[in-house]
Amino acid sequence: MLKVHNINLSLGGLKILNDLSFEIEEGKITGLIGPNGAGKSTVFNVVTGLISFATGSVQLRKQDILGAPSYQVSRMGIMRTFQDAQVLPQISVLENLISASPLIRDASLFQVFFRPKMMERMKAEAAEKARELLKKVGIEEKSNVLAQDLSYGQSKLVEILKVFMSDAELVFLDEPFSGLYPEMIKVIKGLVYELIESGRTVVLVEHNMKLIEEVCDHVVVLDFGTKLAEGKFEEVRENKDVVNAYLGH
Amino acid sequence: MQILLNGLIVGSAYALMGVGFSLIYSTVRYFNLAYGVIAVWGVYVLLFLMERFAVPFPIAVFLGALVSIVFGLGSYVLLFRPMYRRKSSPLVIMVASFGLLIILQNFASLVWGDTTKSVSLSDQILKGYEFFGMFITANQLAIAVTAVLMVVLLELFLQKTKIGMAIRAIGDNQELTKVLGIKTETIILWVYVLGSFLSAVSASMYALEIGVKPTYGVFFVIKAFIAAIIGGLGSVRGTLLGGLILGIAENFGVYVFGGQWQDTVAFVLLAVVLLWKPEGVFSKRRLVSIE
Amino acid sequence: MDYLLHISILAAIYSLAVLGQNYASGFTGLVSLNHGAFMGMGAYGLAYFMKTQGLSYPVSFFLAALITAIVAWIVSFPLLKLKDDAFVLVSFGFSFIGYNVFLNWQSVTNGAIGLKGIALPEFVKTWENPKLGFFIFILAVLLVSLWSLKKILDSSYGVIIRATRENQRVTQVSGHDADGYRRSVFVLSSVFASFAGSFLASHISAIDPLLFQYHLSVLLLVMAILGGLASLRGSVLGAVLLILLPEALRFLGLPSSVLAQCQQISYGMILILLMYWRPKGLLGEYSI
Repeated sequence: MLKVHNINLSLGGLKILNDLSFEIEEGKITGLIGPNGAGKSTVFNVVTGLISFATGSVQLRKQDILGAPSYQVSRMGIMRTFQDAQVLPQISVLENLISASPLIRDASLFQVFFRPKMMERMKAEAAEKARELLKKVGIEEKSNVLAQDLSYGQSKLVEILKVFMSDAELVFLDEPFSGLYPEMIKVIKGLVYELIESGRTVVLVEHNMKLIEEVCDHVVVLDFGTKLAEGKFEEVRENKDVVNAYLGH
Repeated sequence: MQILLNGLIVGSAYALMGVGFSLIYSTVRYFNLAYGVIAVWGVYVLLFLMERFAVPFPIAVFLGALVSIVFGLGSYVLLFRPMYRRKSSPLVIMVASFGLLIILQNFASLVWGDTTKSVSLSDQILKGYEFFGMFITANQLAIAVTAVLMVVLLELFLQKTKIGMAIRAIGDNQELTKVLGIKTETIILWVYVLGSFLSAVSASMYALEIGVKPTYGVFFVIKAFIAAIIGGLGSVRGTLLGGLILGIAENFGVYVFGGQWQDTVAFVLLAVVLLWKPEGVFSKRRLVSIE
Repeated sequence: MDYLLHISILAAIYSLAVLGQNYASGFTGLVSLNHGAFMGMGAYGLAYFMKTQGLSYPVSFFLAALITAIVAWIVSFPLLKLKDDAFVLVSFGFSFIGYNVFLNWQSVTNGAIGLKGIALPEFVKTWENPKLGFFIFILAVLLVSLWSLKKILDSSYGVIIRATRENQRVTQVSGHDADGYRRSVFVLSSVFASFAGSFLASHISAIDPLLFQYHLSVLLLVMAILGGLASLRGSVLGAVLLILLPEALRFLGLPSSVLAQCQQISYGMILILLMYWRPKGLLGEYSI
């Protein structure tokens, strides 16, 4: 589904990504693992268009997307979450989710004044879906709370719910479990499985090896921006380079 | 060629102003817009001492700079530090510094009046010099000499003293300063002292050319800001170069377009740099969102 | 009575300008010091097209706004790339350039002398009290503007622009062209400022560059912050309060020679107090 080929990225003389190539299979959960600073979040940034100066090729279903502005990449069906749960702080939780809905895309001033009813409807539909999602995970009472007043765990929940709001087929989750206590991890795990069940493809960055082993079908290992190994978790775990990389850090 | 020379002279004043501003920014990470107006107060004190007590120019500059330092430290202790402790964002602190700028500038207007007051080296008219077909006035010579002197002293300070090294380190790497064993608070205080001193001296020298009036508070900090941006925030050498470039560009601009467009040239240069190479010539910080 | 009318007209004019300012700064996070220059463009535009070109009031009014919008559009390209603190400083620079243009573009603005005899719109001249008619007209425009902005901000368009204010990257990852939205907000906000500037020109009938220095941009921003960022009612409140401020100072018996400086000092103090204690302002929903 996603083909990443020969990606090179340098910043200020430092080589951040080094001739990186891997493939993401549709409908599976792929783990992207590696020690801290290996470049995992950077890979996300390159693929989702937040970094535009990498060389190489990234193809989504045979379509070149490297260098496209990030909002266009999103519209082609890619969505990502952020490691530190970047919710929009001074607006409500409900609005946070509505902003992620494809229903409100292309809102324009023309529509505001000449197609108000349609806009109303789209917004209401998005709000409806948002409320359902919030209810499902049990934080419906936080709908109108400003996102900055949420707990860390709740922000991470909202971060994943945004993925559900979007219609993205390829989803990049950047450490969705980090910093959470076991109760929350269970909830988020459930949500990740739901994403798969609904036909989406998931790429997961995570440090918790147990979770990676449990959840992922396929694993790509990175260190210093280079791919060390790729394959099933059990195979990769035995790989000498991989072991060294983790021991060395 | 004369234009180039004039530009270099003015540029050296801008360069010094820019360095003080840049050092403060790289240490505390917010823009202190009151930077220029404390220099203006220093110049007014200089004038006062020269006119009322016939204090010789160099001593008066120094005393004026001391006053600026008092203003600078005062503003830090009374306004910026409390705001920083409250975790105000850099933008909020900058806006507050702008409020301070307005207050101090208008107080200067109330106390000293709005007319431009001229500053001169001494009572006698000093001759200029001619060389290589160019003419340099006594004022210009004084500015150039002072600028060079200040740069040399600054480099010595930054390279040879412990505090200087800490100041350089804090721009890049706060961990390193812990290694040097100096508290961050001490470094910040020193930077404010240094910055205020540099701004006052450069403003005093530049006043030889353009005099002083309250609205120069804004004028100075804007030139300092532009010099720092062109050269790259946080880089002393870069900012020095940035100031020189600014001075030369302005003088050429004035020559080609006329004196009224001087400020416009400065801002257009700023816009060009921000668009083409936002990190500045020798960069250390980015002011542009990554996209 | 005349004096009360004068104050009311000023309050209405500035409310309109601050609506524009707050639309950009409070709702969209573009803390701009450009809007004084935009007001100047509205004022000079109206004056120039009516007096020098002999066009009618409505045509001049809208032409001035169109030109302001175009300038805002152009300026937005370098400006929107900057992070918030740099954005403020460079926008400050553009207002400097604006002042220089007003001062030096002799053929259009008549330089330091300025332009005189700027008329009120035709249809109010026939009223018994033309100034009253003008006030009602401005009030109507203000109300329509409030209604329009409310519609925009309550819609999903409003959701998107608030999202860009909070975090541009995240908004883009959700599929919205954050830059495009911010640009359109910036341009529309300049139009409100232009309208206000045009009204100001007619009201005081003579304009000169000194009216449109950076002080005006600062005043607009302080009004927006004081009344409340991201609040429509706050915009009007901030405008009214700071229009009344000089009157209050005069009431305190301050001699007129120091009035201007005291006004400015008050703005400075208000800014510091707000930044220290309540950066979102009185009725605000957003703090910088």
